[in-house]
Amino acid sequence: MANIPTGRKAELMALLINGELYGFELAQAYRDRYGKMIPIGTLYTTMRRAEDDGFISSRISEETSDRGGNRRKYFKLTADGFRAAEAIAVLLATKKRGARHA
Amino acid sequence: MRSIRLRYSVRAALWFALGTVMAFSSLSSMLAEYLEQIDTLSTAKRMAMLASMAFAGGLGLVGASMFAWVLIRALLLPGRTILIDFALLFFPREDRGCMEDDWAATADEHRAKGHPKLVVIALITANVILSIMRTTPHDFQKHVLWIMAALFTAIKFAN
Repeated sequence: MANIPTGRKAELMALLINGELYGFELAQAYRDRYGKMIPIGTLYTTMRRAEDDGFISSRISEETSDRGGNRRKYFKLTADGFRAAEAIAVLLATKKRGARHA
Repeated sequence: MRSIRLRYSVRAALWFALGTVMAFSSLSSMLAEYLEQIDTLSTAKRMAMLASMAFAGGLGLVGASMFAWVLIRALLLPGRTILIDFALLFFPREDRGCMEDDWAATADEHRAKGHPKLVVIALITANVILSIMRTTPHDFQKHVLWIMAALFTAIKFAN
C-alpha cells in the first residue's frame, strides 16, 4: 500500500468512509466537517491524484433529470483507500483532541 | 437540457467569431491586392476578384450575425456563464459534465439560502477561478499549448 495520504487528499478520503459521494456532496461534506470551502476543480484534481495512488475509484452516473441532464461523478474508497482512511480518521481525531486541549 | 444547449451555443459562437475574423482578414488582403493592381487587371480578372471579395464579405457578415445571435442567446439564458465554459477546458473531458453539474448544484444551494443573484454569481465565479488556478500544472500547460496552437493556426490561415 502507498504511504498514508496527508493534507487535502486525506481530509477528502476521510469523508468517504461511510460510502460513495459525488462531487457536490463531497464539497458540502468537506465544508460541514472542516469549516472551509473547497473549489470544485480542486476537489476533482485531488481525487484524480488519489485515484492514481489507488486509494479511490470513481464511476460516472447516468444522466440526471435535473440541472441540464448532466452526469455525476461518484467517488468511493478502494480496499487500500479504506485502510488508509481509517488511519487518517484516527490521526484527524487525535489532532482535533490535541487542539482542544492546547 | 438547457445548460447543454447553452454550452454548444457558446462553442458555436466562438467558432463563428473565428470564421468571421478569418473571412474579413481574407477580404482585407484581397481588397489591398485589388486596389494595388486595379489599373493592370483585365476585366475578367477584376470580376473574379470582386466575386471572391463579395463571397468573403458575405461569409464574414453571416459569421458575424451568427456570432452575435448565438452569443446574445447564450448571455440571455440563465444558469451558465462563459467563464464556466472556459474553465472546463482546463479539466479532463470526462469530468466536464460532472463538474458543470456540481457548480450548478452549488449555485442552487446559494439560491436556496436566499442569496441575491449577484452574490451567487460572485461566489460561483470565485469557485471557478480558484478551480482554474489549482488545476495541475501539467493540465494547465497542456491546455494553454492547445489554445495557443489553435490561435496560431487561425492566424496563419487568416494571413
